[in-house]
Amino acid sequence: MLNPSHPDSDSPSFDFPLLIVVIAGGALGTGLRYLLTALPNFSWYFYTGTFIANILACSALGLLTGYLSIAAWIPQRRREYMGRGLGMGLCGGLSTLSALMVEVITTARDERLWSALIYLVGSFAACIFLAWFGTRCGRRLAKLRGGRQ
Amino acid sequence: MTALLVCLCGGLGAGLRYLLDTSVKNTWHGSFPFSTLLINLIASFFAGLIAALFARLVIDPTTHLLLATGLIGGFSTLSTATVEVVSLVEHLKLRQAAFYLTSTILGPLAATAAGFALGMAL
Repeated sequence: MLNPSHPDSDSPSFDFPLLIVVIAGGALGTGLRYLLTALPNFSWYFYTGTFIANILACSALGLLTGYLSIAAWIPQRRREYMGRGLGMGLCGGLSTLSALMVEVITTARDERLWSALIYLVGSFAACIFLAWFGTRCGRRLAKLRGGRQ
Repeated sequence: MTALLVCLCGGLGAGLRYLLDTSVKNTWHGSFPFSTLLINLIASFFAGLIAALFARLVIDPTTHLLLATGLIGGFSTLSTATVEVVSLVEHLKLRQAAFYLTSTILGPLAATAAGFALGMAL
């Protein structure tokens, strides 16, 4: 089962070192997203910063998840740290659904319904496509790497 | 200094997401990603509330930044949700994937609107 938040365990339990790794990754990801919010918006109603943060995070999480699903040579514990720190922490902190929704709602309140809809659907379409593409690339990379072992 | 605080709040948000995700997954063992959906619903509601309070100048810009961009931004996640959609499709759970995607868009949208309305009414 390909599971983005814990690639190789079906019974999660609370784990203090993993929590610290998630917090560290989340802090980094959030910092990166905060930097990206300084980007100029294409128009008043297209939020470039949030959009770029989201497409970066979805590509990266797809890549990581795909890679870890194949990379059996990485010890389980290290895979857990990578999945939690880089996936749940870094990518999770970089991407945001809450800001996206607030942006859509405020755009809609300004009676720019088409803009709101294009931004919402465009964000989800781009992110799902990139998550899928990233997953494929990640698996391929892991297979190449595994083949050379 | 503010940037560091934003990072710290984001880290806390991600940590809270880990704790909630873990506790939900300890009780729910099905393939439907309830935990991420729940996290995003909670985050969206509070994001809407904070946005309204900020629009009404009830909270100052720094507090808004720390809560909206930091804590709530780090707590909510789009990347996990999209990878979960891809995973459901790859496992040919198409009905679940469609339902999950629809509820991940419409649920948080409604939650944000509700939070915003509450923030305007308070």
